[in-house]
Amino acid sequence: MTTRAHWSMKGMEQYLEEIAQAGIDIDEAADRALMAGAAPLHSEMLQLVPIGDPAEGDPHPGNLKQHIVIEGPLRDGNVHYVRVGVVNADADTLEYGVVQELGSPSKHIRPQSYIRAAIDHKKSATRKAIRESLKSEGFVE
Amino acid sequence: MTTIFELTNNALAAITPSVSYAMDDLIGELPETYIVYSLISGVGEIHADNLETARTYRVQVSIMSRSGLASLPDVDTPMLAAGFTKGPERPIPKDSTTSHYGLAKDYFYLM
Repeated sequence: MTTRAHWSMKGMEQYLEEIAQAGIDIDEAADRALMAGAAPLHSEMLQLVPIGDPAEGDPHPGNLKQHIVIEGPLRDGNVHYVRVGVVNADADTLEYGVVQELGSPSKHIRPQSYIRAAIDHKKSATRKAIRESLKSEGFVE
Repeated sequence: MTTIFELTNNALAAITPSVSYAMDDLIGELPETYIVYSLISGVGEIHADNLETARTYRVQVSIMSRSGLASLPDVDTPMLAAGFTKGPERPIPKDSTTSHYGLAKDYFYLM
């Protein structure tokens, strides 16, 4: 399902491991950095997500928007990550979210991307926020 | 200057054998197989002297077919020949009304 983005510290394992070996606790800082990076993604998704019109038959306008959240920070072994998007929503909301993101060509519904477009728009801002957060805690130059 | 819409249109026109295609949606009775495309995003990539000098476009090409996804028209070849690069792809849930299966393929173009 294309209803959320997944942002992790993958690719930085070696660097994080070396810092951990030096006796510095990076875990909390990594979590804070991911949460900082998730913020611009989350707000962009909230800006882009389409809101239905009751006059056009949408019984729950804004329901999808209410389900766009940041989940995390989460850990899987040494990998830290956050999920941003439609997380833990009911099946109807998830299906609606997929149709909005990808469109339904047979029903003449064009895509109104709020996940991929948000990532495209805020990729740099997300990376910058992660870097700035780690930098402010003295981990990267 | 050529627009992203012209580029996509011209690439899809080069598919052989030809397939019905349109931007956003296809009007009229839907054929067994057809294609619609949409612009998902256009993001400024490089700036110089406060002016944008390069932009990446992300285009979604949705291939719809009643006979499933096993044998679809070759969209990659004309899109790559037109200068696009391949991005992620994902299935579109089967349409219960028209019985079309769908595959959404993303392509990127740096202009």
